[in-house]
Amino acid sequence: MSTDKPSSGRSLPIQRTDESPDLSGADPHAGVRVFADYRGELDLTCEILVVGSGPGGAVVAKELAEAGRDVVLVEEGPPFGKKDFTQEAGLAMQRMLREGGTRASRGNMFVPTMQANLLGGGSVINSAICARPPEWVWDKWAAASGVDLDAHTMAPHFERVEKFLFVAPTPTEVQGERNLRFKRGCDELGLSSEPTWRNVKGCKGSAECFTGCRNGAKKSTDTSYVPAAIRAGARVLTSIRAERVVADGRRVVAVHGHIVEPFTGKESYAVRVRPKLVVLAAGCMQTPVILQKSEVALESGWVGKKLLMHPGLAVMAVYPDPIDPWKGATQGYHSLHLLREGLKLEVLWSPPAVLAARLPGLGVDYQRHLRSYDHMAPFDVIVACEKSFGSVRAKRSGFDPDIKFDFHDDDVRNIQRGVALLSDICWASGATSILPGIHGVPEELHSRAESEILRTMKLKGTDTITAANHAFASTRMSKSSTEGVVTTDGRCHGMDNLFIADTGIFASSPAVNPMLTVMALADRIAQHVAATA
Amino acid sequence: MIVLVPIFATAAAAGLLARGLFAGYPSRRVPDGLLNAKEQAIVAACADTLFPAGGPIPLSGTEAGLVEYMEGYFERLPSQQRVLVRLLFWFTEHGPWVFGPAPVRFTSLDEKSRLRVLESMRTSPIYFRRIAFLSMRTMLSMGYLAHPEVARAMGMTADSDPFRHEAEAA
Repeated sequence: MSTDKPSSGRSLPIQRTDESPDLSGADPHAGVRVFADYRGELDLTCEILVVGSGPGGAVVAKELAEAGRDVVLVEEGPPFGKKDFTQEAGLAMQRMLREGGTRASRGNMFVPTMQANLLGGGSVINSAICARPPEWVWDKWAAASGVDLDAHTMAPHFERVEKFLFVAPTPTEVQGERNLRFKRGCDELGLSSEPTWRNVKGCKGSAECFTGCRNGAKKSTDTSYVPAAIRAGARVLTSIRAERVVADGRRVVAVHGHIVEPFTGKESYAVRVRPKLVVLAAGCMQTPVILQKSEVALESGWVGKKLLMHPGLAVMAVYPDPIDPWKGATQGYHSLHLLREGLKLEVLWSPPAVLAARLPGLGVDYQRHLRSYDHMAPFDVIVACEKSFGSVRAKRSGFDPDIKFDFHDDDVRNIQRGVALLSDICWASGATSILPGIHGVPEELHSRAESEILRTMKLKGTDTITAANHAFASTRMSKSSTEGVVTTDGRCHGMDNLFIADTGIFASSPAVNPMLTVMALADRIAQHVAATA
Repeated sequence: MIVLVPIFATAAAAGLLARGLFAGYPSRRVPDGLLNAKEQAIVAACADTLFPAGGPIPLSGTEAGLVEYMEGYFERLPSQQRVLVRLLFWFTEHGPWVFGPAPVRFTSLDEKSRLRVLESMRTSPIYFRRIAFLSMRTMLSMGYLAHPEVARAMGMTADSDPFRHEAEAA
């Protein structure tokens, strides 16, 4: 049995860093403990235990470590260095995503949804889009559960995160034709569009965000916040699965779990941590599972309830000339023109094989479409659902969540409107055909007139291949303990020292990509903890 | 004697079912793999139906190593997902018993009939059949596009610095 004792004798407080450390040439994961480092059971004590190293947890760990707190950050997945990234879609998904990348919600249709399982969490594999929610989002959150946050209150937190991560618009030089055609289409139609703002420095337009940035340009939390946390004295341990929170009345007294082998998830030695305060940031799908298995903070009845997602649907534009979609920023352009109406239009990219599965045809016909892939650009719409909800429940065995999500007909109608607009963008940008990938619609649409069917048909959710990788609100914040799980400061109602800092705490949809919002909220939670706990 | 008739009939039916389910598969292409001979045969049949030899991309599915790819993919899957993938193979193999075109296994059909079966899955009014097809095609497409010759035929590059290389080439 090994015992890790908290570091001592450090002068406090440590200087706060405003910009992500320059790690060029250095190993960003130096100091991170990995599976091979463990020789037996772990017994740890610390002041703050943070569970999860994604956008929420890493921010909290860095900020509290820099505030002089003794922080332990545990992460179930392993660290991935630049050399560990593979462009082979299947292998990348199996190694970097939970359930081998095959996770899907059940409900009135299957909706594939991904959750990363590695140091840095979703920030390593997303497109690095950093978008602030518009002001009216906070009014919606207030209406949902009485949350008293607004753009003014949140502004300093957004600014701190944006500065630390070098958030800036995607430069034109790395946009590539796939993104520029989308812009052209929007311009022709009078739809506003803009380069996406991203946490990237030195992007080379390799279009490989989804499988990890080989160039190290993406400022994912494993290369930004986590190294800063380590520099400030935080202990970062990977391959540790937090399984149960042990509470005594209103206080958490311990967190139990196991060391798990990377990729196989095989359980190894037991882990026991005795912290003074716990911040769960295991993700919107995993945090409810921990709470449910622990039977802690369940009094409100909201844990795992009212899961919200942004379902997304894509169409493929086919151009007469090659546009080489594999060149250019992964998602370099988007249109926020219809955000108020729940629609965000954007350029899409992922490993080509994943998108290829939705191409028309079989056999020779399918191969023909693969051959002309270099002429294609996928555009997608995500919808902030008003009436579609789901739930997250712990399964009897294992630690994977049972996710249910029902895509409501009204939200399907809205996404259909978005798809029709995407087809307009395709035509306006010079496409000669569109591959809609929708059951019941001709597989290839050759004219604007033909594509009118995208407006007029009665679309059902099950006609579509819809995926949803933005998920939130499974442990939502609320003013009253009867309407949600945590306060606006992230503390679980009814608990003194248990906090949550992942997208589960969103009261409702952020309307845009959720990463920046959860990081700003995590920054706020960390400041609150540093000041009060 | 009459008492024995139902027993013989049940035994005969069980024998026929066992034969229909398990017998007559070629030996395994990947001898030490986790997929059994039947499952490897299903993968090979699906692979070559989806990606025939001599098409716009000349390499067939099996030539692109899809049986070996699926073996590796399957091995890395968590155990619960392995069960689902196995069910998917079985659903594809024995689908023709229920959905046609003939009451035989998918792997026993000729090339044209296999194409018809997969096409009927792809365009089926039954949501679950379409999802089953999509799942199968996604896995096999990942393997197919991972082959360098296929990528080359598609003009697909995995370039970590494409614009610099483009400028240099110009």
